[in-house]
Amino acid sequence: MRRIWHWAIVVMGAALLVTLPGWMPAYYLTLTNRILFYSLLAVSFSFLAGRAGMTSLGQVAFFGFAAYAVGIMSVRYSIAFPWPVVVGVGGATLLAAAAGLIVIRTTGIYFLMITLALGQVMWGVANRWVSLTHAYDGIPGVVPPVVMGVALKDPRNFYFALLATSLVCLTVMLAITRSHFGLALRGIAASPTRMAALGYPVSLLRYLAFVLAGTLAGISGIFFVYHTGFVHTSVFDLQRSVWILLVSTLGGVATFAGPVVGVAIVVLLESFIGQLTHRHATVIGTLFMLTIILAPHGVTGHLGSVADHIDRRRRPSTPRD
Amino acid sequence: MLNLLFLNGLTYAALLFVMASGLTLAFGLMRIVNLSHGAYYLVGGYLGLTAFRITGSWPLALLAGGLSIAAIACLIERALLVWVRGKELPESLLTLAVAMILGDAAVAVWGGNPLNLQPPALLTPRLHVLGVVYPGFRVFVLIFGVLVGIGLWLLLMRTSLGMAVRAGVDDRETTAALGINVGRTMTAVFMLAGLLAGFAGVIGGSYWALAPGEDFQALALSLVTIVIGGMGSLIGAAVGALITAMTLSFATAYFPDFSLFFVFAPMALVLAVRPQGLFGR
Repeated sequence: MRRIWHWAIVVMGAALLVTLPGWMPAYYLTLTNRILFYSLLAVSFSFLAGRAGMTSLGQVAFFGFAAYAVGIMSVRYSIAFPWPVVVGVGGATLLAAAAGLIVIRTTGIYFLMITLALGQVMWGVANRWVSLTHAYDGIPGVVPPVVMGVALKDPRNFYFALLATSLVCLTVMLAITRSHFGLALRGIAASPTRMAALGYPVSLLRYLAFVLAGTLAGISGIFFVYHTGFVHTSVFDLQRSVWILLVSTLGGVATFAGPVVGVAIVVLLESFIGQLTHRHATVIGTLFMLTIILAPHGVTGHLGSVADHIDRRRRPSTPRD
Repeated sequence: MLNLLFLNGLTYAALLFVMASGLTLAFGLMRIVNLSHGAYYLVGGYLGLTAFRITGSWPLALLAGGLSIAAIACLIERALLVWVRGKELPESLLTLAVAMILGDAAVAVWGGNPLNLQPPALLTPRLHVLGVVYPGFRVFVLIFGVLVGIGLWLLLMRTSLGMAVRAGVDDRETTAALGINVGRTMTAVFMLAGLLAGFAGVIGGSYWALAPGEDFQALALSLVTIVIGGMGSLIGAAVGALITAMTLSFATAYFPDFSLFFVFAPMALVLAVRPQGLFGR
């Protein structure tokens, strides 16, 4: 009986998502797009934080790198699709592979500090390398490409491309989370020494997780820049990292769906807050502060948070995923 | 040219040390990384600027920047951090939330354009150092950094507060059991760190400029500095500041566009050989 309900929800959800552009006002379709690509970034963050116990404030480095790669290549050098996307995602992966060599040598608060520095160094470079990035002016006029005869400039097509990519990425991430590799990461988060004693290559697994999360953040950045049509040093803002941390925490980093739910709730909430105040960072910062004080364990990704509670109540004895 | 770059590195190291020493001392005692340290720097600079506009006195601006941030730090420590005491990650993340709010408040009050302070003529003679004409203010910054270093050293080694701090770093529980008020010591160290960050902000705002975003840039460089030097070590902060500032000074001369990437080079090297930092335990 429960299985039938499960599938009914999946089918209804699918029908809803597919027919969305048919009935949803353009403004809300835009919000849906935001929810989709930020979900990818949130999963990139929570995969590291929730699975491997690596709380990163540097996922924006790969997100922003991909966004800049697409912006610079397609606008300034008029290089056609697919090269900007290939270089964006590939470059984000390579950057994660290079940065990973340094950052995975640290854990806990040190990891947090170094990934924060990584994001800030990218911000600083984007800010100073004016000839390439136009610094504060940014690079406007990024137009979604034509892929296999389909013009993604059309909002409907863009939505479907983003939806398809998101579903593929999320399915892959879910499979990885449930795989042997995903379980090993959880073991490492709980007790690295024990996992090492059991013969697991702890550093290698953490490294691979970091690079994978970098790729995912890169994909998110690609859709971000095509959606926004504009790239600017703000892609590397620490605020964005904190935002991702906050929404993932609110949804629950220990669950797979949690961060996605968190992004959806906060994006919708913000579209209302945005009409009230410009002090966006203060609102987010205050929310963040309250979350930490009221649910300190939720932040570290082991306990707490909304989705987590629901999940546990429903299935008390089975392990969470 | 090389002499000039060396001097720039040296004087910048002094400023970085003033920032990083507070951060590393607070970490040593409280085991938290104060991620609002960069915001302290920026807001301290801005408050100094406001004091400067009112009084017209640069030394008063320096004092105002430092003392007001010490007060803010005290407030944050007493009112907010106590809620999550002893939980490493939540404590640091709470300071990050504070940093966001302070940074946003700074934009609301002082706007988005770069601002700076004019140091007094007494501190800005044109000096001839190592065969180059060098701005005297930077030499003052170097002297200030050295004085802060000596002051902190004396404070740690010669006073009862310093003794409590050193004991607390080694073993917090035993120190508390011996009747030392560790909570009050923590507040004092947190305030001291705030005072130094406020000083650094006023100096940094006279050296370059204050602008949105500089808070997290200052924080990132301070973090790199203490990771290199080893968390909790005063000498480590000095050596880390020298290494970071020299790297930046030379890299900026030869690769101005992406000089910041180079600050990762010494950090990668140190983490590969000594993950706890050069002077870390």
